[in-house]
Amino acid sequence: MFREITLGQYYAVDSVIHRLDPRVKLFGTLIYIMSVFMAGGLSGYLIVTMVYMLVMKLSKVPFSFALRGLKSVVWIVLMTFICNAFFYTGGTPFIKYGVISISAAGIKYGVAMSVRLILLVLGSSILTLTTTPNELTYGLEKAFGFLIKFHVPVQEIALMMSIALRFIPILIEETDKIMKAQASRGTDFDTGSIIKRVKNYIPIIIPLFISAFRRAGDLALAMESRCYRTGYQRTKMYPLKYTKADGKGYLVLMVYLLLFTLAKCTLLYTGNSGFYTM
Amino acid sequence: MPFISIKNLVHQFHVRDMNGEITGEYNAIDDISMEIEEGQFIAILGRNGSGKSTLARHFNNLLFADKGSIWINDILVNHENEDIIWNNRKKIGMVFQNPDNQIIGTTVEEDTAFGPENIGIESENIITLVNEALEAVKMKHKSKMSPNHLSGGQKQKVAIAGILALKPKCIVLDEATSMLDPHSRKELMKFVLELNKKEKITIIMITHNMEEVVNADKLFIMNKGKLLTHGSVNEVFNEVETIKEAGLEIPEITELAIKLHHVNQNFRTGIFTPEEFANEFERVYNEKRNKE
Ligand SMILES: Nc1ncnc2c1ncn2[C@@H]1O[C@H](COP(=O)(O)OP(=O)(O)O)[C@@H](O)[C@H]1O
Ligand SMILES: [Mg+2]
Repeated sequence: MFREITLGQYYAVDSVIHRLDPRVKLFGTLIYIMSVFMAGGLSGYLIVTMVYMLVMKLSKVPFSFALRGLKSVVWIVLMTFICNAFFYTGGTPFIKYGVISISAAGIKYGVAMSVRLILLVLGSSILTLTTTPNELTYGLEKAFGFLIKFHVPVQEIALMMSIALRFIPILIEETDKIMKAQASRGTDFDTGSIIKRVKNYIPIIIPLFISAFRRAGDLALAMESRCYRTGYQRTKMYPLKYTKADGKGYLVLMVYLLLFTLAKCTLLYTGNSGFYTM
Repeated sequence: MPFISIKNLVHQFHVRDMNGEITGEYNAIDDISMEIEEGQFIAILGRNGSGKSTLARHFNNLLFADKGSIWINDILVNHENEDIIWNNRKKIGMVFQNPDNQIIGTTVEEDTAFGPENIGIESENIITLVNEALEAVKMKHKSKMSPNHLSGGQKQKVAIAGILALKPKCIVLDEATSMLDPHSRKELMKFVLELNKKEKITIIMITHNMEEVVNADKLFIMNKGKLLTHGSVNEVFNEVETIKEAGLEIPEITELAIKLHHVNQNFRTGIFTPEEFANEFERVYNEKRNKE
């Protein structure tokens, strides 16, 4: 059952976005995040939302599937809104009770912050929805490849990440097994004080660590027996190769960044605050 | 010239006390000499802790001799000469006991490609090697799958594919079947035998299960780091006392045949399957009836 767990939330379908080089997608995510931070008002958010919708359409990932990614941050969004709406001190409050002060400006600010957070989460999840963890690792390896010059073991770190990806489901399954074994011996994980509950987890952590270290030892041996050595330039079965589409992707991203920055600067300069604040 | 030749090999592990201080040496391999010819199907038998894995790691140059020497294709293994070591590891692959702990890639084909990628083969050639290897183990249709979705037997096949992709001369299987169910165990054994017969790959099968070795050309029995005996299956299986000393169990049917042989010299030994037993029984019975 646990072996089914896929990290991230890759949605397997063939689309233009799926076929893009992971490096383009990483760069795109970076640009997108920059534009979300630059946008501060209604028109800015509208543009970003439209861009998000367009890319989602191209990616063929159902919107409902992408929304599931929001579930984990719903509380953070809510907290952000409440903090800003109830404790904002800048505006003129129409309700004031102790530390709580609710003002129109505060509510606006809260909404803006929540929207920004939602756009950030939704937008960057396109990356993980359309890129397998492996491609992502390899993309990162390539994108940060220049660090090798500064003696950063980029290849080794990337291999470590991909091995971690392979073993996480196995270790989760193992945790479950150990927990069931301890539970059948009468360990109670659900009741008692916090300290007691934490203590109950010790008999899980220790066997898990022992087994993880044994696995690591076995794996190191298996890797060595298959001619693995550190610091030696490995090749790849499927090396990353830019296609024409990737070039166009970069171009579109650059144009988007340029236009967005221009628009923002113009609006700032002309003092039209519509783009800047809500 | 033998393919692998081991001369008076000794491998020592430190013995430590409770505080981790070294208090002595323990000979996990204690003066072993053996020769293995290319293309042979070799079985090494011994109970837990008899030193089988330690010996296996010498074939693969994962461990190095404390005393004595090991020669592969007439080249002395020297832990300071990396070229020899990498060459040997390419030539001699190793399948380990735990299927989960030897698969590195996140997909089947990626794992198979791990070895060729390590030695810097070009991409197009890797694809060919990987496809050939996966076809050989009949796992081509699962090439994009995560290894986590495979059964133990399938994982061991992927592990073998990863070795085949390096075009090896020899595969060492260190109790590779011990964590499998009986069906997958038989299937894997059949496949390994095929590799030996068709591809002429030398197989070194390490096990404590005597039923798995009946097809071997040569058996070596280990106990406490020493070689107790070696020879053909027939020769070794008749040394009932030695086998008992090594803590191994002869298949019941074989033991029964040996007992019958003591009663009636006409009944042959070296019987490993119920079918063989039935045939032999029929032969002896018919002969006796014809005489009467
Ligand atoms: N890394 C090690 N350090 C110390 N002792 C070891 C180590 N590996 C194996 N041994 C000891 O060497 C002996 C042989 O082990 P091994 O070769 O694994 O046996 P087998 O594979 O036949 O079960 C055992 O007594 C074991 O405890
Ligand atoms: Mg062993």
